[in-house]
Amino acid sequence: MTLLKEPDHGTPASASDQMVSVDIDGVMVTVPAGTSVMRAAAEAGLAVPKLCATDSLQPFGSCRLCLVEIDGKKGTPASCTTPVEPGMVVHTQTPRVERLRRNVMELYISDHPLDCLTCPANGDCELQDMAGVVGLREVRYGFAGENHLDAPTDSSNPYFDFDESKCIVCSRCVRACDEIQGTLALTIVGRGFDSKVSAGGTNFMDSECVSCGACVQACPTATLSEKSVIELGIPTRSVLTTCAYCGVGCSFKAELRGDELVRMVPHKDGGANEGHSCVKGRFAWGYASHPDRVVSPMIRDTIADPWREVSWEEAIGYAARRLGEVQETYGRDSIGGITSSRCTNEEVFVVQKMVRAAFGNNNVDTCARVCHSPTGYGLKQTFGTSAGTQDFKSVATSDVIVVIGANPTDAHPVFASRMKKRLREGARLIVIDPRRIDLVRSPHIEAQYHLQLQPGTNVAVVNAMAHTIVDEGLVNTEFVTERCDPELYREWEEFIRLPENSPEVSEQFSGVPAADIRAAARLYAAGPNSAVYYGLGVTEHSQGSTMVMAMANLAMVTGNIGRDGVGINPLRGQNNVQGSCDMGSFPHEFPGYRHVSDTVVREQFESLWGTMLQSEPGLRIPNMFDAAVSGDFKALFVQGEDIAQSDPNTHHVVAALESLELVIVQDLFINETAKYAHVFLPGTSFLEKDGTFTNAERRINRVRPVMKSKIGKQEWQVACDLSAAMGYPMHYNSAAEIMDEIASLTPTFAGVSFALLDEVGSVQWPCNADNPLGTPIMHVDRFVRGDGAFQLTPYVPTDERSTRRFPLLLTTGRILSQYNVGAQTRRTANVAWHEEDLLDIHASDAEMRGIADGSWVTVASRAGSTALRAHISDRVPPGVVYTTFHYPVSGANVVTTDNSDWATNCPEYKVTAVEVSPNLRGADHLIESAGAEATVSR
Amino acid sequence: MPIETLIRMGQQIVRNNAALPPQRAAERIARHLKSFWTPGMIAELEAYAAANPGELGDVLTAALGQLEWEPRA
Repeated sequence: MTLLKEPDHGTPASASDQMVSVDIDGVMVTVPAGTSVMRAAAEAGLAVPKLCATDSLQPFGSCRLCLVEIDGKKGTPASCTTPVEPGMVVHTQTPRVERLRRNVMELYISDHPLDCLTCPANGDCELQDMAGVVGLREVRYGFAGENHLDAPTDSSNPYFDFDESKCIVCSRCVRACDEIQGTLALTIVGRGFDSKVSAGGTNFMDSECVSCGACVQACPTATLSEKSVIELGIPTRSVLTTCAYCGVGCSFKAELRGDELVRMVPHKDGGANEGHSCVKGRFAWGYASHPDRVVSPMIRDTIADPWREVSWEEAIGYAARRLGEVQETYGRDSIGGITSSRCTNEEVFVVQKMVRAAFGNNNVDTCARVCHSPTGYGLKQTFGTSAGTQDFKSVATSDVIVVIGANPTDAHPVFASRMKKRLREGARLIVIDPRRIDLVRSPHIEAQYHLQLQPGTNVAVVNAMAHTIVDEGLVNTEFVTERCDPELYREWEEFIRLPENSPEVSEQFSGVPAADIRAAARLYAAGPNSAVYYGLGVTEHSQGSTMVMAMANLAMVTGNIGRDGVGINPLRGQNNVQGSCDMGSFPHEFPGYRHVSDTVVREQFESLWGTMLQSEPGLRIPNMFDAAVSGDFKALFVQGEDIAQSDPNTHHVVAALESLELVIVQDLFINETAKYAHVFLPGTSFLEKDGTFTNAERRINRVRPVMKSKIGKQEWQVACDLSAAMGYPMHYNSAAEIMDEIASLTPTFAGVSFALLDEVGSVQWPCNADNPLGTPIMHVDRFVRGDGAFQLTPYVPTDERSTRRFPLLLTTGRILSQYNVGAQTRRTANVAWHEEDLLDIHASDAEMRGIADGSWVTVASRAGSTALRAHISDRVPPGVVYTTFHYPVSGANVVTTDNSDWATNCPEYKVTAVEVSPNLRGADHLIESAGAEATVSR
Repeated sequence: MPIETLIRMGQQIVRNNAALPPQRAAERIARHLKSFWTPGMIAELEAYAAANPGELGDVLTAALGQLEWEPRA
């Protein structure tokens, strides 16, 4: 399409249901009460000139360009700050306001560089546009007076410049940072003529700025411009697509000149992000064209051999032949596949189909195994479906927000901005986390309670909250009686009343004062709208599934399910975690979470696919590793996932990979896993893909090809080719046809098609005959399973405890600028913010060990050891250390163990007993893992 | 698969269902194993239980015993 410019109505829409009619330039307009005159005019097609107004920000009234005349009112009020009134008669074009506007514009232009022809914003500049609109023909004041024309340009940010000489001090950037992003990094310093935008008195790079791009997008001039626009020019066409980073799933306009991508601009109509973005989605897309991309297939007989570049035909033929040989030698169940949460629904669907139909077994699992598999288990047991309950917008009506084991400002920043907005409006916050995450205290936000629990004691704390609610008579009896299974509730109430679940006993395990737990429980129960948002700090524990059920119990007992503002909301780590699970990637489930033993369901798949399917579960990822080491599992297809870096206990994973006779990796880059591979099949970046992603709110978004596939085909075609070469032909003419097959087999996707998505933008499943435009909020009148099912959730301490040898508990997480194992973000300028993983350690623990800030330390667990540089921090309490895992050289997963969730085998990344000691060897350090060691240079 | 791993997984499942009365715990664990474990994993644990009576504990043994009555596809 041509360059997509969304209409800008100047001020936000009013949510009022009272309607008001006004006369604007002789046109009658009816709008909700509270609507500004400017917006009412825009809705009637009568654009009022503006500079400081934009409909993503509250009206400000500073530029004085939108002046109008209103019958019966004195003066010339600003239309952006004047709400409509019944019977109002407005004149937007009169000689008086036209003269005033020209005067205002003259003043602006008298202090603005007249370099339009060479300006990077030429053709995309609101100041330029408005000069034309108001009919500016002269600048009577000249340009020789005091001015800002020589003001410096701040180029410190790797992605955008701040050219102060072009600033009109409209404050749109400052307000975007305040109102949309919620970081408050920008301000106006000085007074009068000396007023100017400042990143807190320093340059952008050294400031609190998080590079979300909201200021750049808000700027009406060339003051804040993307470096890519300055270098390449204004884009000429747009492709609507979806970000491939976190589970928020932001919609973007990929803006191009010809075939060259110039910038990614968040889409105002995107259901997940509504025009906002973060530093990764907005700017960190350059990895797609990074020289490290491998675009030709490669094979080798052994991992000691060099890679040999071959044709697609040879690579597919080789892979198929060797898979067949392995099955012939070791049996049908000796091979399997792993799908990727970074790939599209369509790509994941064909890989699981290939495993089930061509491999002939159910040995298919997904990387969601190692992040949110407990979410699927826990929410299915309690509510009946494996997904979060709300849409992201829901948080705007929450009164109490509980954030558990999540760090949204770093890991889900666009959703965090929504949440922070609500918190600034007065919603109250409970943070349950061993670390003091930013949300605990940041500008205009402070958690009422930070329950700083010991890692591994989530269940004890949430059970104690539930105990308090029952003990203190705070149960929503009406909801429980009407919506939940009475016998299961009675059993649960008896269980939760036990003294072992009381806050006073819980305190002994968790370290959280009982009084704080009780107070937090009262706050949550009082609501009236209380919502839980959680992340991997909930799921990646030995009791991950129990914790999900415990949170669901808490929501049910207080009636916080089934309407706006409430719910249990998993913040998914990767872009398509929800989708990869929906698409039948688990070894026990077909698409739509139907068990493989369900004869009726299985026969539907068998009938359409024309082959018999297995009725027993296959191997999960950890089972595959164990079976490989013990010699029962011999070949693995890995789609877009770096298990050698991302899965726990690296030594064990490497041992498993080395045991395999055939490893097939499909990826963008030669990753750590590919070092053990025999076949490398190139993959496509999100900018090349055609398909859909499903985000954490079950929103199915279109992913459209922005550039030609660098591998010459779509990634789903590779799986189809491999399947065909193994004797099971799969043919689709397009990704749309794959979605049609998904819809025909999956009740929750029954109404989904590319045509629908192209028409309405996105839908949230279930999308079917009953809900043709999707389902933003689930369990509204009844739970998917019928009655809500309270589950008994005993606290079982993890086996991973601090000991004399390993006295500290290590927990891990993600930082804003980087993403998971860093395969993408390390290949962008985002390294400017995070060039290595550090170990956060409390000053008392550091002092006890003679560790200085910035010094090298050895981190050792029973699984292995690695070296990191220490960062003395009071974000972690004494006894707890923390690191990120974005660099392979850090070896964070050399240290983590193979403990896992009891129900799903999701690894217990969040609790590892370690010791930290000074490492005098420094940068050339040693990664050691139980019997294996390797010298690694940074 | 290493039998130690299967035993550890089985006992972990038992501990997390310990709030249920033993008979219901066994039923639930049997359903869990049937739903999520491969037939091979179950068979290995069953073989171990048969060869080492009492070592897996009453609840896990009872759960495995219930699986014996379920038909395999």
